[in-house]
Amino acid sequence: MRRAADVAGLLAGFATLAIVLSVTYDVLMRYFLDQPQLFVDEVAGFLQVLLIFAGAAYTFRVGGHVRVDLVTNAVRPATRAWLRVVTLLVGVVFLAIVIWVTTQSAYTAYRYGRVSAVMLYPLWLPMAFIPAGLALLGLMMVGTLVRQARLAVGPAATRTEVAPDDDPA
Amino acid sequence: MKRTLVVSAVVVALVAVVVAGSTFAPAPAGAQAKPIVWNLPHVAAPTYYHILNYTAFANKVKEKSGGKMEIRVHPASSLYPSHELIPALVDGRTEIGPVVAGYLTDILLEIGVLDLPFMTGGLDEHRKAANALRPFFTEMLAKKGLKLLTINTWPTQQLFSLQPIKTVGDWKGKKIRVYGADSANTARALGAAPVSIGFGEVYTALEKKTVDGAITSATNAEPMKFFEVSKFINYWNIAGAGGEWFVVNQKAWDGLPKDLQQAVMDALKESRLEDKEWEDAAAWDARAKQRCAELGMTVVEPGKDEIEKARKQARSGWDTWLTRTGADGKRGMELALKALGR
Repeated sequence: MRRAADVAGLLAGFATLAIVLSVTYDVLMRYFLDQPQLFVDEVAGFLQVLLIFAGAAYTFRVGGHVRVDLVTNAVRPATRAWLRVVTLLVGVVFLAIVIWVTTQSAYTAYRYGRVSAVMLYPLWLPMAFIPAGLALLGLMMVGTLVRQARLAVGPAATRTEVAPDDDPA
Repeated sequence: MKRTLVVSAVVVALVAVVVAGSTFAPAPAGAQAKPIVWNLPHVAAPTYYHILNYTAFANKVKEKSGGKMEIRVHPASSLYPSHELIPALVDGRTEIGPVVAGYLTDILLEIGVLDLPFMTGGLDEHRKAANALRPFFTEMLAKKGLKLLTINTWPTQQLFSLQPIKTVGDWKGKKIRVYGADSANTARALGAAPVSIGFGEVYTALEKKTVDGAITSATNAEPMKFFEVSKFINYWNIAGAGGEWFVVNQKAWDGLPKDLQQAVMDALKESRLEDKEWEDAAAWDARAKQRCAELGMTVVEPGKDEIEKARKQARSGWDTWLTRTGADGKRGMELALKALGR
């Protein structure tokens, strides 16, 4: 699972690079040669979707998502452990709903042969990045949930939040 | 901890009592049965004439049905984003709404034949042709499970620019903002370089001279402040109108009691929805032209011969559309050209 998140994270990195390069290419072509590149606007938009959703699982793995710790910092480690179990559980359920809905949207786009407005690229592909990325994030969260639940019911001394897996290896 | 749990339990119990009370309480005496509610999503701003007209129609439905039916108008893409409107209608996620020509990129592409660049030269011509094509539109929409109610319209599409574009030769080498594959092909056919820019970024693109011109409705000059960043508005009538087919999902229609179906049809008639739409588009267009001049823009009127020349050149831009729409598109094109006498 970690490996998959790392590969997806790498993909998100390459997507960022591709956006930078393609937009730069478009600007240079438009400014100096009066040849705007129509494909760039849509491709950059699709890559942005990839960047966000492919990077979600990796960001979760290294503890990079924004967290509000106003409450968790004020309670005892054992309570914090149980709170994390609850929030992860809610998160997984919420993700399952979003994955279901976005999969349906991507499938509808495929069924109707929906395409982008200008370059007529098939839309199901960038739309499928969303449930795929979220599914990976969901699996990572389930893994953490299992570890967190074990800690929460384990010996009192070790009852606390699981640390983010920030090992870059 | 124990105390917190007790307090939480009391709060939950109180909420449960309130919710149960409101759910199971008997309806007050004289209360009416719940009306049938339909949603009508739209992309236009709340003050735009479409929304005013659809709201008038919705009010009429409520009146004619004696309060048994309610149509809720949702403006400014508040229910569905623009490109989701057509799939939402086809799937029946929303019961009634507009199929807007500007968002015909895949589903129902063939009904956009009159909206191809330079196909029609103005609102009157467009309406006449749309009336002739009504059976074709009805048939194509029915194939997707939609029932056509009225054919409505958006104003004409013109060209804002930094320099006057009065002849076909003036298009050459200009970077022009386009809004779809067909307008991109047309711009290319006229020798311009198409640039895809979202509507919200047109002002900045003109201001920063990222583009030399932008195709959009003249009615946007004042509300979007385009007059501040482009000196010229060129009346090429790139689209003589912007089609909008007001439809209802057939399954939703079939599920409606006969008296309410009649109420909807009566409301359409009494609110004069279709006529009002075309009258408003013409009035808004005329006012926009006047306002453009008052706001300091130069109104450029290309000659009829130049527009005809552009139309001939632009026809090569229709090829992609014809390829993508197959036999239905070919038939639609033949009907359109016949109706327009071309």
